[in-house]
Amino acid sequence: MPEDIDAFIEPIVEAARIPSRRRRDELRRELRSHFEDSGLTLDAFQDAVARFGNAARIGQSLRQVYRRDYVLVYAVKVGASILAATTAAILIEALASLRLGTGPDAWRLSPGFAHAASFGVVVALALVAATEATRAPFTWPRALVSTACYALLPACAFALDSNIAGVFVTASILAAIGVGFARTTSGWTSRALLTLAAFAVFEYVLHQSLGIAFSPMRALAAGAVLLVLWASTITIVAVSDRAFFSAFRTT
Amino acid sequence: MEYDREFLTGTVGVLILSLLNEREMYGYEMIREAERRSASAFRLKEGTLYPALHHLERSGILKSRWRDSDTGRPRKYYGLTAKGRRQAESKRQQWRQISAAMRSILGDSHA
Repeated sequence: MPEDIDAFIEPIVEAARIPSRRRRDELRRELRSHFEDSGLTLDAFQDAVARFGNAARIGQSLRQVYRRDYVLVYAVKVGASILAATTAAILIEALASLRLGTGPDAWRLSPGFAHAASFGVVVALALVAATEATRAPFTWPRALVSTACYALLPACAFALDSNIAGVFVTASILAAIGVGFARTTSGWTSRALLTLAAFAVFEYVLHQSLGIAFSPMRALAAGAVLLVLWASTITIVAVSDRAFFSAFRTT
Repeated sequence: MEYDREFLTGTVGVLILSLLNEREMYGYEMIREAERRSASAFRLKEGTLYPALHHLERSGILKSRWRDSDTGRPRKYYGLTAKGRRQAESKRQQWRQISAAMRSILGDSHA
């Protein structure tokens, strides 16, 4: 009988999506005590279950009660993803810009590092936004909020620097390519190779269209840096997702 | 008797606040008490009661604590906060006015 009670209660607790483990335990304990009061015979249990009604609907009602907490924890998760992804982007760009030489300034960053780092940060932000917007199961509110939050950044940055718009357009296209390949292809190797090719081709075409001399080898190298940035960002998002969802797992 | 859901919408909160205005109770006790006082006319549904209790608690209208019941088993008892007491009184007055008005409209004000 206690197993039957637990089997009925657990889906309710899980569907409630209560971020606090203590509150989840308390809800579980409260519902269990209700069934104990109803009686511990099979008939009494079945009567109590019938009176309780649809477990999924009760879970939904409780989810509404705790929705604010859930949204808050979700926002923290996205914030942590952004912080980690942008930090990783700066480190990756720093490594790519590192120049080794001899003498007192043997280790130095190339003059283009500042631009590369800010571009890397914007690409990481675009990737996080695109991942959130297209996350399964797809919902319009989440897609719109993700897109709106991302769109706010260039709007604010544009006020400071009118040349920044191009950076955001480029980063958005790269993020669309990256997330598109991450979703459509299976297997890490084929996914990485296809994404690398797509990034390299995009870099090459972009520079040619702007009249900037850019060899295919440089495009490949730029694509490789973007690939590392893409891989680090989607890994960070996946890890934070796992941590987030495990916080709600009841078993 | 099964009542039209439309009539009962909004009554759960009034029932909970009225019951708890007298003393602390736990969920199962509230259901039994509502049933007893209404001569089984009202049966608070568990699936409605618990989300409502949690909602009211989070809104600062109820507070809860675990303590042993008369049977010796621990139960989660709910009680009214100061805000809850004010709300209970306000709901009680509103309900009385509404029911008096309804009786007048239905023509059984002298019943």
